[in-house]
Amino acid sequence: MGKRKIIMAVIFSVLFFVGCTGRQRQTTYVTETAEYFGTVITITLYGEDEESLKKSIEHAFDECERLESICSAKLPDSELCRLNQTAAESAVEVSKELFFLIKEGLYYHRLSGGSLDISIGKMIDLWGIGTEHARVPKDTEREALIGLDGCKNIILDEEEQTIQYTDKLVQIDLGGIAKGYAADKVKEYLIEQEHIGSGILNFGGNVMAIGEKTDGTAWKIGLTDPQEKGELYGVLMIKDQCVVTSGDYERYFIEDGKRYHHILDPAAGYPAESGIISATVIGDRAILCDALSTTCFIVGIEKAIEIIETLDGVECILVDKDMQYHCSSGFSQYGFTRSY
Amino acid sequence: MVLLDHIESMLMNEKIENITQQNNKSVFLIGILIGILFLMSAATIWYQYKTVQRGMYAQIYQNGKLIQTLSLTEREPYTIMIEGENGAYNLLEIREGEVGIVDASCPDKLCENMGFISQPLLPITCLPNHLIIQIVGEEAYMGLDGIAY
Repeated sequence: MGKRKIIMAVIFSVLFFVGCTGRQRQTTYVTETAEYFGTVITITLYGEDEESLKKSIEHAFDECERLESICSAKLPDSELCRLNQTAAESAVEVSKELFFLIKEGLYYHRLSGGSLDISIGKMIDLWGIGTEHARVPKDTEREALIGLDGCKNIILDEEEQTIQYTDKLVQIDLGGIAKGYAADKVKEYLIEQEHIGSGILNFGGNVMAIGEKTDGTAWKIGLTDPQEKGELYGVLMIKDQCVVTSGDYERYFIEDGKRYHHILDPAAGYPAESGIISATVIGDRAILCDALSTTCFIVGIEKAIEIIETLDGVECILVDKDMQYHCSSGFSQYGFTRSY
Repeated sequence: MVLLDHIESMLMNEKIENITQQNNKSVFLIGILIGILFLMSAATIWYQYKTVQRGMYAQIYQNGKLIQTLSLTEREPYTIMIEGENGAYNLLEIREGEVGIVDASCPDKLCENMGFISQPLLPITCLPNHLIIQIVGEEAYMGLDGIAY
């Protein structure tokens, strides 16, 4: 009898073991990468049929291409570029989406106290960070563009759905919100049209989660160490939300031994130097998190936390020059652990 | 009587021997089965480990299109020249488990300064030459589902 019991126990153990390893194969996933918005976009979707997941990702990239053709400041024939060419002469009728994006941009300008400014396209071009003509502009060139408060010079007509610039120096650049908006739209598309329940979208470092992991647990998201290439600063957990980081290590150039990064402070016309080297915002909408992470980076720790605390459903973690972190009051819900 | 006692003691000894033999057999059987379980677990872990290693590769994008996928399992380092428009070029070095740009025509040399990458934390980007190198693998890096940067 004893022997039988042992044999039965072992058989059950083996069956349990095989059962455990077999269960993992019921769901599959597909990961694809493409380049849009001048950055790398990776989409990972979970489901049961590999072929249909591949198709869903293909359609998601089509959506990225469509959005890029509307709001890119780099593509010469995008709707935004056409607007920039003619809006100083007369009011231009635009698509619903572009109108919405510019309106949102103006709202974030007010919310950030002017720190996030979508009208500084000329200043961005002057510095050319991330392009082959990146350079430190002359003071006279810079001064000609600062203090414009260009957002006041953008006139929106809701009824006619037109946009007009009242100053020739205004050029809209939606770089601070376009990637976030695209992540929101692609997520919406994948859930509503493709019926995807689980996945991760990475839009050039902006991570957007669709639902939760297939085993019902939260997604584990790493935050890049702002000083050590390839290392992690920490890890946090999210479900159905997004994590957006702005850092001075993403795009920059070095001139006379000094590093100039790509996040410009519109008031100074210079790369922002607020003491923050990495600002991460977590929330439901990537467009808002995108706008807020840039804002936080520019305004500095105290003001950044003040802004975040006034808003519902968003939290932040800010890393200062000494690699210490500062969080908003509700950040603890994400189970953040620091890596050492 | 003496004979009966002798027979009884013989039978007793045989019983004890039988019990001992039975116990030995059970221990042997348990040992074998534990060994099988151990080997199965080890084989599964090894298989998963090899899958991670085998699935690691670098994807190279030029002007937004995937132009090459390179396995990062070659033990001997080698270089690949990627040429672009108007004489633009990037020289890639592929080593076991990592990839980097060792020479480039771009003016800022940011891509060279990024050094070698061995995980998908930050892709190497040469914006002037519209080149992106991304590490991808079959399994999530360090158990992470995504990395914000």
